[in-house]
Amino acid sequence: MFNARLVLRVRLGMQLVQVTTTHTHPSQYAKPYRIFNEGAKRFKSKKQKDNGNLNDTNVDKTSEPKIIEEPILKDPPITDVATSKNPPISTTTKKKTSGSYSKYILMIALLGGVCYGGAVYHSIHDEKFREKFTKDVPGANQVVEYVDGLYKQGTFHHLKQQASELSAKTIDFELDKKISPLLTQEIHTFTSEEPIINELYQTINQLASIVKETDASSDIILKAKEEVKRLNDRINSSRTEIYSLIDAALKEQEETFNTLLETKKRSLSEKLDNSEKEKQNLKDEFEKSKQLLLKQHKDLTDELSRQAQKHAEELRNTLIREGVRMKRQWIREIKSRVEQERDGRLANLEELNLRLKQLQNLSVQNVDDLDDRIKDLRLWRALYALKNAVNQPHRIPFANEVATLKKEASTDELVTVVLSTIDDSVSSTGIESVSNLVARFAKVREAVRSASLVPENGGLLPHALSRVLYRFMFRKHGMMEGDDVEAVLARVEHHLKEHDLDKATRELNQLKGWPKTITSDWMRAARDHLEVKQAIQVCFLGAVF
Amino acid sequence: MVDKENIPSEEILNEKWDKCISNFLVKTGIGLSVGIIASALIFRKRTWPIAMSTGFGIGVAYADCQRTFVPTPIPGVRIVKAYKNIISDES
Repeated sequence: MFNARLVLRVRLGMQLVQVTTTHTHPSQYAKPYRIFNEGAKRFKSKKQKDNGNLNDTNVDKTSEPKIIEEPILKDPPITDVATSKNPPISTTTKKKTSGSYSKYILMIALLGGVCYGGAVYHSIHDEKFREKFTKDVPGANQVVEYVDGLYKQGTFHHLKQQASELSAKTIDFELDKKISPLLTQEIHTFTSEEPIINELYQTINQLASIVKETDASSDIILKAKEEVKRLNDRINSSRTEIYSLIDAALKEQEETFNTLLETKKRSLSEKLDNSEKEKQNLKDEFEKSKQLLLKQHKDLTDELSRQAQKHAEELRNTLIREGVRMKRQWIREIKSRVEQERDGRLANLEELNLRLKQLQNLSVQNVDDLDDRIKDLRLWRALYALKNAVNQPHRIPFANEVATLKKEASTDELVTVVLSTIDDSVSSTGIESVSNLVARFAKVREAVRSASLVPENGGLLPHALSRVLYRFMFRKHGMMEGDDVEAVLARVEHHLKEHDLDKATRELNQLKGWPKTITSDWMRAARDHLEVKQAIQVCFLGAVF
Repeated sequence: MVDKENIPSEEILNEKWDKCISNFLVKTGIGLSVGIIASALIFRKRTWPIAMSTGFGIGVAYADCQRTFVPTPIPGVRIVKAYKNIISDES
């Protein structure tokens, strides 16, 4: 009896679990639940077979079973797969016929399922266990990961809440409507921390209602209720125990971990602190040095600026002083210079005046001199022209030259006087040159010689005799002494050879008689020549002085 | 008379001689010719008229030459016209 009840309970619970899971997520991981689902279904169908149409109507009337059954019905492939794949289910179906053997197998399966579920659930919370579990058990990895994901999503919690709410509602509903006030009160008062229990309780209620409707004795239900309560109590107690144990273990672990953490933390913090301190120290030091450097820099810059300022001021001062001094000096110097210059200027002016006067005199004198010079020059030119004309080898008239000379030397008395001595006839005819005179003298000499023997007033005969006899006479040469004609002629010749016309004429002038008459022309020419020459010479002298 | 002005002094005597010789020749010639003609015409071809006339000619020439060489005028011989002119001029 107890066994049957347990099986039923377990079946119911499993169904409920299955309901919750399949409702949200109908996937491969629902495999263990499906088994129970199947079981529940068979159970239900069996019941239906027992109760006939009554069950169907009951199910239709209530909303609760619909919610439970819907997902199951909705998933026919899963159920097919489950039935085909799981032989244990088939064994469970054979349970009724085979008895204790099938029960045993079911137990094992259940236990295994529970263990598996618990392991999965535990693996979510315990990392170490999870590692081991996933490594050792086949297929556990996927399951655990899936459940972990669900857990992390909060679906469990949500589902729990939802389920509890729903259960509460349904219980209220059912108990209010269909179960007796005692029952409803009992059910109403019953609340458990475990949602599964709640669910179980709900199913029991459901069963009770079913039973009630089928007019079965409420004894079983009550018993079942009691059983459920006891189970609840036991579960609660065991849970609390486990909780306490877990808590203790957890606490212990926590403590150890905490202590470890603390120590670690402390050491780390110490280290950190140390490093921080060091860092801080370094920072401080750096800051300090920075500050110090900055300060020093600032001080230095200040000092520099101050010194620069000072220096600049000093410089400016000295500059000003020097400027003032130099200014004074310059002024003094300029003054002295100006005075000096003024004196110098005045002196210079006087000197200049004097010099100017001198210059004036000089210029006036110069002009006079220049005039004189020009006059002299003209005179000289005239004189030279005259001389040139006179010295020509042939007889050339020089009346023009004389005239110009007279004009130029109008102020010169001497020259005018001298020029006045020159005869006009002479100047218009010109004078014989010395060479001409010498040449002519040769003729004159022969004529004189031919008439040299003729006495004064001699007639034809003396002339004829002289003319014949002079051919036999010797010629005399050189400086001969004596008054005879030959000696005179010799001296004249000698003087003429020495170009002394003056002496020659003087000698020739001693002749008397026919020789004198014969030489008269030559004598005149020579005299003219001499006169002109002398006049020119005198003019030169006059022009020079 | 020859112009004395244009003759240089040294040529005076030569000029005089030239004149004398020419004078002599001309006057001798004239005397000879006159004597020849006179002897032939009057003196029946006698020689003395010829020699006498030639001598005259030579004599005249000589006198002329003497005058040319000694121009000093001999007083009493020359007709003094100039004298009168001078006196008349003075008076």
